[in-house]
Amino acid sequence: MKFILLGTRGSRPILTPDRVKYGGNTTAFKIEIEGMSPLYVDGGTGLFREGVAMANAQPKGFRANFLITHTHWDHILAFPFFAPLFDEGTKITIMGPRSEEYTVEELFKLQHNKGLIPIPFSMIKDKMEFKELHPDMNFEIEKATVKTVQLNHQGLTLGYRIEHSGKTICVITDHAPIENNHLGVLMKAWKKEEFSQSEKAFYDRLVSFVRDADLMLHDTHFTQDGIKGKESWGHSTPEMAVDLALKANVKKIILGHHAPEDLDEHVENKINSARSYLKSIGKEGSVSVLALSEGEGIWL
Amino acid sequence: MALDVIFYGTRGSISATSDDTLKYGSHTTCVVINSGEKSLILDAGFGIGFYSDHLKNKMGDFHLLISHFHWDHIQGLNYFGPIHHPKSTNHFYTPKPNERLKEVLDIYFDGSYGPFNGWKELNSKLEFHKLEGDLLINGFQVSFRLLNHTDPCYAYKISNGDHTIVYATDHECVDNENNREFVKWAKGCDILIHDAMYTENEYESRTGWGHSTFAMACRNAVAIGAKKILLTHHEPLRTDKEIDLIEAGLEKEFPSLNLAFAQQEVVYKP
Repeated sequence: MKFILLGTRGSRPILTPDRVKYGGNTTAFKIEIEGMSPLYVDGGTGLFREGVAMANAQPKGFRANFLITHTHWDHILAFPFFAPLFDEGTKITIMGPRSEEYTVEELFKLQHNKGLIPIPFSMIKDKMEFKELHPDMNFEIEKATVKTVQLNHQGLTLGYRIEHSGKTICVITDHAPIENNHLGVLMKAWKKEEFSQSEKAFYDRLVSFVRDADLMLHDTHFTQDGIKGKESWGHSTPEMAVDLALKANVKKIILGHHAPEDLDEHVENKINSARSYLKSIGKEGSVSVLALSEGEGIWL
Repeated sequence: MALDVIFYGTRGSISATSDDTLKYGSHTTCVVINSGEKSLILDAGFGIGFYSDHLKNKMGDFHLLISHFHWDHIQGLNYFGPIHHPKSTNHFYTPKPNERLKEVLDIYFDGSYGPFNGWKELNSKLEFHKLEGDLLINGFQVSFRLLNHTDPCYAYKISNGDHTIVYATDHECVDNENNREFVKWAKGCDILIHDAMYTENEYESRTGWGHSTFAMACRNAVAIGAKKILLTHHEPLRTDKEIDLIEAGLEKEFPSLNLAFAQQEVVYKP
């Protein structure tokens, strides 16, 4: 199983010379498993070049599965330009959560509203199949087992656990600290007097969800200083990712959803701050922390 | 008075960042025109977020001229700092119906697509202005005219009294009545910013998509008598090296023309 970063950035694509190492495209990941069609997580701008490469490699009958964490623009905006959708015989399955108001299919269709893009939805619709996902699901995609969990982010955002042949990858983005900060639609049902209990239950559930993963891609948009006052923006820090990994015996963390403001050196500072944090609590070497360049992958 | 043109977004369709597009840039369309302390912003692709990164003061009045509502001209709005600043007023100008612009913003700022709750809940004040004829906007004389595109798209002619810029993207400048009128309208401008997305080969299969080839754009510039043409709306995958080569070829083909492919962050002057 191979995990490849196609887009590492959060919020918006950005390109300057001091950001090319870690890349400027928004969130998209690819999971390659031998003998099955590519499995992608999200379709931010990082998906665009991948689409062109796939269409060139396989101009007919392209198949793929997509897991969508949530439908914020930076996670879906490349779909109307995904090159295989314009090729013969393409069939892709898009699985993800709905929003409060719209189904996944409606959210994809709305992108093609008249005058917003010169590609009518009807042109690509037949090549896409939509499936709505919810938290706490457990299902198979070809040779992989997929599980879902609710994350702490605006609307309905899902974390994914993908298992194949004894190896596990978790994708936890976008996600914010839960203490006094309830962003998901499901958290709205919590009773005020039970907040602390609900928060603990939520966190414990997340810990069990990522337990023993070989690899966890985690939202680390903010630094510990930068997140102050912005907890409700829906993002985490490297230290939060480390805490979760330690509690759940996760072996490796990849930092993701870099803020558009982050230069390459800031991403490196985040790696270093996660490692120093591990050292400061006497856990050096318990979890490996890294950031990958766009296009880079890791074998499991 | 001096007048500066700066591209913060040069790309068409989608931003697909890569280190081989650093020179010409990868952010979708946004051009800023400065004259003294006054500015106009043309379109709001991801380039407007990049412009916002350079803006020291995100408070005040901002003036945005929108050519049309395709995503690559709108999708950066949420990343424009002043849109979230309680002490800012963002003025939108377009000849298209304001009601349609509001519907587009309803979709763009829908809570399903981001950490927001509709454009009406934004911290800044939004003012919508439907352009009916020539108008003085923030010290610039502005007029508009329809281009050839898949969805009605408008060119803007902007003057600070001393210099005139024509901004014409997205435009397929085939030799039709509308383009002939456009040429007359743009006659003698100091800087022509013109759509130039395709090679001749690409255009063959993309005729009618609302974009021009490099040579079509240059021929239009010659007909207009533009003192300078800046080619923009670069195809998403076009590399810096490719553009350098194409530019060199065009310079030979159009020796009388002062031409350049728009680069990110370069300050162009008449």
